[in-house]
This record gives sequence, structure tokens and C-alpha cells, in this order.
Amino acid sequence: MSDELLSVENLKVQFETVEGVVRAVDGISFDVREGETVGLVGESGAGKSVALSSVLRLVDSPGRIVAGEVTFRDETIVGFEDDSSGNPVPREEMLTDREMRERIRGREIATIFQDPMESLNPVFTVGEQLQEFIEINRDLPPKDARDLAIDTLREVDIPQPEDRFDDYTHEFSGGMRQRVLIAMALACDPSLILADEPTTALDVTVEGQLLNLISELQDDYGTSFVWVTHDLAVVAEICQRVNVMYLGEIVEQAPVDDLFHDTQHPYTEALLDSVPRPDRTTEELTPIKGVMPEAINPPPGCRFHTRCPEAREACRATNPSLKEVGGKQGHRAACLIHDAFAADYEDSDPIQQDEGSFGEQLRSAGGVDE
Amino acid sequence: MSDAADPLVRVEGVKKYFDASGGLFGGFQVDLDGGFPVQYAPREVKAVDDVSFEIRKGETLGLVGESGCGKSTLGRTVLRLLQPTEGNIYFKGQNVADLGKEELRRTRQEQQIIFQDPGSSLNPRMKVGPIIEEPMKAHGLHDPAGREERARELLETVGLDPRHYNRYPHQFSGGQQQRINLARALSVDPEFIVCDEPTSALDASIQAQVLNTMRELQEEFDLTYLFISHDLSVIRHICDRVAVMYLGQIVELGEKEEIFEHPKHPYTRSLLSSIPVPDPRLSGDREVLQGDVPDPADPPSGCRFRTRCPELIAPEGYAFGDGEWEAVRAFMRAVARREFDPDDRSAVEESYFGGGLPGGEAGEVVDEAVGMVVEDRWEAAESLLSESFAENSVCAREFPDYEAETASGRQHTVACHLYSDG
Repeated sequence: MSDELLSVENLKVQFETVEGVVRAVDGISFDVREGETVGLVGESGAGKSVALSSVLRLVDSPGRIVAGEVTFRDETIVGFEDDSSGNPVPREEMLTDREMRERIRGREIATIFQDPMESLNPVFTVGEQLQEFIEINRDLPPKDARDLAIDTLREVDIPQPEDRFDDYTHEFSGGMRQRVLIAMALACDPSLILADEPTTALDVTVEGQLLNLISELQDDYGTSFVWVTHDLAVVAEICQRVNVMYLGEIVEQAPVDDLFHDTQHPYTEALLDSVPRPDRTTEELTPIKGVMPEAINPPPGCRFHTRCPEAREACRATNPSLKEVGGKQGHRAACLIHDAFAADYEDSDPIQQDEGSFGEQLRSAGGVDE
Repeated sequence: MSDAADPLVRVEGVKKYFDASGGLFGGFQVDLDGGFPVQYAPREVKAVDDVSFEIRKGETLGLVGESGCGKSTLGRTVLRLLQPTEGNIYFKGQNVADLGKEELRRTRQEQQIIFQDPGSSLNPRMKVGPIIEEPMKAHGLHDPAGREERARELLETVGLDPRHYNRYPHQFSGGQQQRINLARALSVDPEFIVCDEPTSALDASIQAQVLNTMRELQEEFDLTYLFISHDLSVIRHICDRVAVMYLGQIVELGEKEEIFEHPKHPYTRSLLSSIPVPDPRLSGDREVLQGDVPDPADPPSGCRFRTRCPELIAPEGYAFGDGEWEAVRAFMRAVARREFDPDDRSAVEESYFGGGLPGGEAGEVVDEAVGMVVEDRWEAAESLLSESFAENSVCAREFPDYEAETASGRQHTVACHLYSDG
């Protein structure tokens, strides 16, 4: 697509632990176009945050990007080729760490994280931190950087920005701190902002203020967003396209309206049925049974089959990859239930649920002792 | 359940203040204008301020509000885990607020609490079985064998495997840990459970499992819940009646459907309109409440919500034309927040009073304030506007408390002057 800004292809991130290799992100592909907000939704442990940090190559040891391509405009952020012995090594044109630091992070791609206190330094004033960030990234003299910092604070609706400039982070409320992070992200006029659950820890009214603020700023600056969240309501509110993640994989990818009104994957369906609604009274919630398995030892076949109400024997054998379904452009799902997969789902026997009355397994590796 | 029946819990005028002066001499103030020069005047945070409500037997009363509004403090005060500063709390007709230590301990058998973080309320060194038996031990129920039998029974009741009796808490997931907390609370066969954000730390699918279990348990054991949450969707799902709290006070209390379908208090309305809905076709421009919650140590006079209220009542004594009061209010807010950069007078007037300044006395005040702003005297402008308008509104002068009309004729309390004749 011509206006494509970021493209992620077949990205794999693994963590080597004492107990084995955790495949936190296992071959995901998605793209982001100019000026749009793309959602990455899933429960905790689905690999959303790891996927997001690998876009900026910020995965910490023991985590490692082992395969895949991440392209931002014409720059290769992640790219591999096979060396003489067939092992994947970084390609020549992949940006160096120095280029990532000086050209990409902060300037082209900015981030907003969930906990603002982890991104702000408590021993410097809010203004100093913002000013320093602007000085370094935009090569401005201190005086101009200060003016720009105050303007940016006003832009994100911080009251009395001149006075608050000299306050410390602990003198700001949670919502105000998150506004400071948004100001910091916006200060260099980046093309893309990666947001990792930025409103999750906030009150609904503050969350509402921030969601409104972000959509206004997006209209003004045309910034693209990748928005990681577990909250489907936030997705419905701000995203244009959505990727639903389960256990390191994307199971459904669709424009937001199709995702909610023409749902094609049983996991998305189940997720939608399990949340109570603020706008109507639900008599009975239908929870997804069990808990998400550990990524260290994912179930064979389709990873959702252990909890899926539609699971059949065929699902144990094949792990489907995303295919276009439902006859709509850009709507992909990874479920054998669709004809597009040509699996003999129809003739396959439904899986007998054998967990008995205690659906949830213990999470320790030892399992259940009899 | 009839309204005439005695409520299980009745809370009357409960206040809970915390001393926030800090330090050895924090509460002392030096005053040299005659009298004794040193005064003791501690800074008090009014976490809960004059709250009254009832909980009927077998119902779930929801307590909803933003963080810092005092809902958890209220929940704990109801159980007297915190000593109320003032007020009475009747549990089955007995005033819990002035019980002696031993009597109070005995009421614990009938009242239990579940906290938000399931992990930190379980002792990591104890096995699950003994954790569940602990309250029975404290209240001298059953012999050891009987307690173990009951613990295993309870594990099964809350949806866990009784064979996990000898497991440690860390071996369970968050949802399962919350089930263990439920089992422990149920072990002494209580009538009343305070649930303080019990599902907030859980994933959506796990939250649904736990909420369903809580409902089943309520039916099975005839429990009464006080359900504290900031999540309006969860409150709507699980509660029968809902109390909305703002800055230490209950601003609206009524039947669930009434609160969600016909909210009366401007705060409830703002709260409801700011929640995102999981449906892209229903999301759109939302009315979002502006500003932050004021400092609970120094709450606004009269109605505490007035500083953020979109429907602040116009002060008497001024003749406002159509839309003029709204414009003045917007200007007042902008001044308080130093929202704009005043370059020249006409630009400020144009952006806040497009159709010209209001007439009469109000216009003169606004005119003077705009002048001050242009001269960069923000504080003077702010106090002038506030003294002339905001402080004169009935909202600032009187504390509101009214019963409102509802379609169903059930009791519905709204603390807002808009309903003064209702």
C-alpha cells in the first residue's frame, strides 16, 4: 500500500529462560498507515507489549528478536538474512543501534507507557525533563526549548503551564503525568506513536479526557498510533483497524466495525461476550473457560482450542495462519471453522471437554497431583 | 425483599477524617495576633464526610466513584476496620461504631471483606487449606477435622479442586487466588461481605468467571454485598442498587436501572457519558468531565461537585441573557486554568464572548476581569470572577440533599440543587 508507514512481517521474539524457550511473539504481521490508529488487543500474557517494544528494538535480555522484518518508511528496523551456515544474522541495511537512538526513537517513533512514573524522573522537575528532551531531539537552544515545552504542556491541557513547569512529578496527578508523557511524545512531531495501555491505570473521566485529547491531536498533527490495550471499549473508541492477539499470535485482523459486528474468530467472540457493558444490563456473562496457557509450552494445533467452544479434533492437528474470510477486504482470521481453510472441520468430531468440573488448571508446571 | 423490612446495615452520618498535617509539630500553627500564640489546627483530609445509606438483606449495593473519592475508606469504616470520626453504623440493629473490642471481634464472624489484589491478601508461606481454616479457628468453629472438611467443601463451592488443599497461593492464577479469598471469607458463614474492587486486577475473561461465581454464591448462601468498584460496567452487571460517590459524599443513590437509564445528578451523567462503550457504532463525541478532583482537605463549599459541574446554577442578582451564563462559566474556567495567552483584549473577548460581553452588572465584572488578564494579573482576575459569580451560586452556598421522583416510585436520593423542587 502506498501510504504504509510501518510494516511488521512474521516477527518472532523469544525469551530464553531456565525452563525453556518462551515464544512470546510467534510470527505476527501487521501494518500501520499514515494517520491511522491500529489496535493490538488481548489478555495479559498475549505478547502485545513485547510486540510493541520490538518495533523499537527495545526487547530486553533474555528476550531476542529471532526472525521477521520491521520496516518503517524505507528504513529497515529489523531484517535478517541467512549466513553461510544457514543461521539468521542481521542484514546490512538494518539500522545500527546508534541510528536507532539518534534518528528513530523519540524523533520518528515515540512511545507512551502505562505507568508514567516509570518514564519520568522524580528528582527533576517536569519542565526540565521535557525541555531536555526537546533540546536533545530538536537541537534547540535552552530558551526556545523552554518556550516550546510550555506550549506543548498547554497543548495537552495542563492548567497553568508556566507555573506547573517547575513542579516535580509527585505534584502531578496520574492523569496529569500521563499528559506530560503525551506532551513529550508529541514534542518532536513524530510520525508514529506506540502507546502501551496509556489509559489503563486512570479513572474513567480522566481516560475519557485523554482519549478525546489524543483524537484531537491526531486530527491536528496526522500522527499514527499503535495502541496496545486489553480494553475492547477503548479499541471501539479510537482504533480504525484492530489486531486481536492470543498467546503470541494474531488470531483476527479487521477494520474496527467488522471486528465488533462481523466477528470471525471464536476468541474475539468470546472476549466480547465476557465483558459487562456500561450501556445495557447483561443478565449473564459468558466467561471463557480456563486460563491462557503458558507461552513456554503452547498447546499443539490452534492455540485457542483448549478453551474454544467451537473446538473440534481438526483444531488439535493444524495451527491455522491468518486468511481472508467473510468476503471482506482486510478482514482476516485464523480459524479452521471458515471454508477458506479447506480443513475438514465439518466432519471432525467436537473435542470432548475433559477438564471435568474444575476448568482451571494450576499454573505451576507440576500440574495436578492425583 | 420489601422496603419496610429492617435493613441489614444502616449507616448514619458517618464521617472519617484523617490527620494529614504530618511531622511532630505539623498540626501546630503560630498565630501572633493576640491570644495564645501557638494553635493546634491539624490539616484534616475529609475522606468520608457525612454519609448515610442502608443495605437491605440479600441485595448488592454498588459503591462507585473515581479514585480518591473515599469509597474504600467508607467500605472499611462500615466494617469498623477504620474507626469512624463521627456517626453510627448499625449492623442488624446493633451499633458497630461503639462496640467494645471483644464484641466487635465477634461481629467479624458475620462480616467479611475481599480486597482488590488477590495475591497480597494471601500469606505466601501458608497452604491454601489452612488459609481458609484461619477465620474458623479465630472464631472457634469446628474441631480440626471438621475445619479441614469444610475447607475442602468450600474449595469446591468456589470452583477450585478440593485436592489443591495442600497447595501454596503462588501456584494459583489471579482469578483462582480471588476464589481462595472468597472461600476464606465464606468459611465463617457470614451474612455481609464488603467487596473492594474484587475483579479489578483480573483479565476480562477471568473477571467474568469470578463475577458469575460471586452471584451464584450470593444465591446459595443468601449473602449481602457492598460492592466497591470504579468500573461502571461491572457495577451495572452485579448490583441491585448503586450509590455514586464524589469527594467523600454520596451524590446519588438509587435503583440500578434508574441510575444507568435516568441518571439525575450532573456528576453521574458525566461519569456515564465518559465511559467508552465496546461498540464502534455507539462511540462518538462524548461529553467528558473537565478538570481534576479537588483536594479533599479543603473541599469546595456547598455542593462539592460545583467546581467541575457543567450545570452550575447561575448566581442570583444578575440578569443573564441566553447563553451568557455559559460563556461566563467557560471564561471563568479558562482563567482559572490559565488556558490562553492573552495578546489583546478584543481577541480574548472574541473567543469567549463572540456575541459581545453580557449586559448589566455581570458585564462590568467580566469587563474588569478581561482587563486584568490582559495586564497579566491572572490571580486578581480569577478571584474577582470567583467572588462575583461562582461563590454566589446557590451551589456554593448550600449543601444539596433531595429525594427525587422516579418512574418506579422507589427511593432515589440526589444531592443537587437542580432537583430542589423535586
